Amino acid sequence: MDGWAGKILRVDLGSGRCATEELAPQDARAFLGGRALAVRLFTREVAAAVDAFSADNKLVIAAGVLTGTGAPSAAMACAVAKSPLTGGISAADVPGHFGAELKFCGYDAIILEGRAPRPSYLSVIDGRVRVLAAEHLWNESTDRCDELIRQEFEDPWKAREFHILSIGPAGERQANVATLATRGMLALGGAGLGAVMGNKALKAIVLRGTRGVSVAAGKAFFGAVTDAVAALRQEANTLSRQLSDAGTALFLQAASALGAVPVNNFSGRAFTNMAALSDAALARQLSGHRGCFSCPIACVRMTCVSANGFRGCGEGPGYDSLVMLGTNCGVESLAAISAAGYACRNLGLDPISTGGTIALAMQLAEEGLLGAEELAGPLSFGDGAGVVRLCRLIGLGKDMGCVLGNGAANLAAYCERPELFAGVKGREMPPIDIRAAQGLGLHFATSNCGPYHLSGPLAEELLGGLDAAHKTEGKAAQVVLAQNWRAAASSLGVCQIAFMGLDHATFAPLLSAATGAEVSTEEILLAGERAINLERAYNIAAGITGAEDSLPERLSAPMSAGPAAGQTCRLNELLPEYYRLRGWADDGSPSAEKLSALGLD
Amino acid sequence: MERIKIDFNKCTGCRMCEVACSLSHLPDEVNPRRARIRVLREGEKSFPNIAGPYTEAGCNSQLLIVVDGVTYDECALCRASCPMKPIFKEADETPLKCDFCGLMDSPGPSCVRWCHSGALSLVETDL
Repeated sequence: MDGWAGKILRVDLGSGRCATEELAPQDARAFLGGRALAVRLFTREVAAAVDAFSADNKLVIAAGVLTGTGAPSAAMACAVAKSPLTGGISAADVPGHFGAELKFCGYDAIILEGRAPRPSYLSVIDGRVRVLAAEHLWNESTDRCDELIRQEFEDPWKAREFHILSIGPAGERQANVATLATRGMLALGGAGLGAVMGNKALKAIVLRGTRGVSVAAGKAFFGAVTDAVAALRQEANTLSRQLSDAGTALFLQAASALGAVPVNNFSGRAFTNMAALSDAALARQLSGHRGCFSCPIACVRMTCVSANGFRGCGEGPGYDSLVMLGTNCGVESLAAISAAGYACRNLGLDPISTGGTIALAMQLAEEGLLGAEELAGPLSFGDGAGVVRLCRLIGLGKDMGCVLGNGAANLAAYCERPELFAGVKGREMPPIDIRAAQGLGLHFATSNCGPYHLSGPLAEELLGGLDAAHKTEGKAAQVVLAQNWRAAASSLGVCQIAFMGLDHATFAPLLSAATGAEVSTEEILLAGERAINLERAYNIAAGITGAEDSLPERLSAPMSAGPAAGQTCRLNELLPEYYRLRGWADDGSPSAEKLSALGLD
Repeated sequence: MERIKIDFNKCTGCRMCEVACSLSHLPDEVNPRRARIRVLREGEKSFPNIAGPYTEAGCNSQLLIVVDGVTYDECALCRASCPMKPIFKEADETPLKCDFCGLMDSPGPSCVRWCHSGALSLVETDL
């Protein structure tokens, strides 16, 4: 098979038995890879009623079809499981080099089922697949776990070439905010998945492959990629250039101008102090740039801080951390935000879910509902050291860290203040105040995995100007198209961040040259639409109905200040049109006609 | 004469160069393990390393070198196709070496063409 590896690795963690299966050509063609394929494999095998922490839950990781071919920014593998955070399906892209290495090991996907009887890690090295003991890795940070795995392998030079996916102590304790990590990078929107991996007692997956990915028309493919890389150098490509220079932090200026940067647990005020978190301020801590496999954009910034008692080096902060560990906690200290970000990476914590929980904790502490004893010290909005302290508490499960680790929805219920939870379907709100961005409001309300900004019209909304962001006209159609495209991107294996800076028209020719099949842009988009419809049908069977396509009470009041002052969510103007465009019934369920048209019945 | 200049400060570790090299030398296959340029990750930095001469035996003395105040293992940065390391050789041990592909038909080596960060560039030298 060209493009695809043609094989799936199935691992029964309970028995340690591993088997290789064929990837059915019709599945490959209809779902491509990544999100659509992982969702397809998952929903076919895991009943909707299965609990996230049941041994019957599975963790499916599928590489994009273009992952490992060298297509621009095609680095991703998508991890899918029943999420403990939402009780529904969750899909998150894994960045870095893990996905490509999966293809070089000869697999399009891994299906992890059951639960290991003791802490274990999966080793897939030079064609040999084994489930090995990981007691000595348990309790270690993601960085240290990575180091230890390499150190203990007999050939240090081969060990340098390992690519490792792991969980931190929070994932081991099955904290809902725990995510998956790979050498300093975190899964994009992976809250809950770290908990599932921890529930399976799986600490890490180690890959080293020696196979190649075969490409049908090598010369044509080489030419297409060469042209795509050359196109990035052109003047017109300002977004990709900005992503290369500033990383995702570039969105802070644009979001701030819309009044869309949340402050103090989505209080309704908007962040405007760009001087504290300006490009110049960020540039002062820059020590380098890092890129995922075959990504010419390389948006990850390497930084070092040493100020105000905060010391460390690592990846970020990008937009998510600047807001969720920063402005939404009332914190504008770049050093504190950076340090909190480094801690999240090391402990395997999703910055959005963790930051959202910390912001809520700050509000509850200010209202006297959480005490200093429980939080290892006083806590209030604006306390940068407090954010770092709480990341460590949550990561290590100390004091109230165990409760906080279960996320903001749980915390709000615990303190009997459910109206303070800013989130949808139990998952914390991403770093956009949607009262200032109507299209993203619709997307967050309807997103199957819970609200997440990269899987919808992020660039479209943030970079389209103030008036457009505050309008609802045309937004339903824009959201449907953006959701389909982002799901399609993930199925190709193309990064959702880089995707915003790449020309969408490049992918059909690339995929055709890689696979030898004549694939059109429409077909690529269809794979994305299939993913979304499969997820939706699964969630409904799991009890997450259209009634959950709503926005929280926390965001019901109008914005009180900033460029979006007076704006409210106008979801009711958009939802019926959205369902109609999707071919779904009034209750948000996919119609039989739609499922049939997509070949999903 | 043209040479490839490596600025490791600009390398992001994306490994586009490894893919470009393998696609340029193998019929229809992407396989970084068979590339004549490999990106080595040492701590927080990435070093593109272009395959050089073949050697029958590893060095007797394995040195440490200091670059910008940071100490590196010289073996890690060495360009040789050497029995001590798994890089720059095929599965059957045949050594691999950079052949400066594309020199005769511009615009030059594939790795440089695909490098977007500027870590690899073509420079004129008098040597």
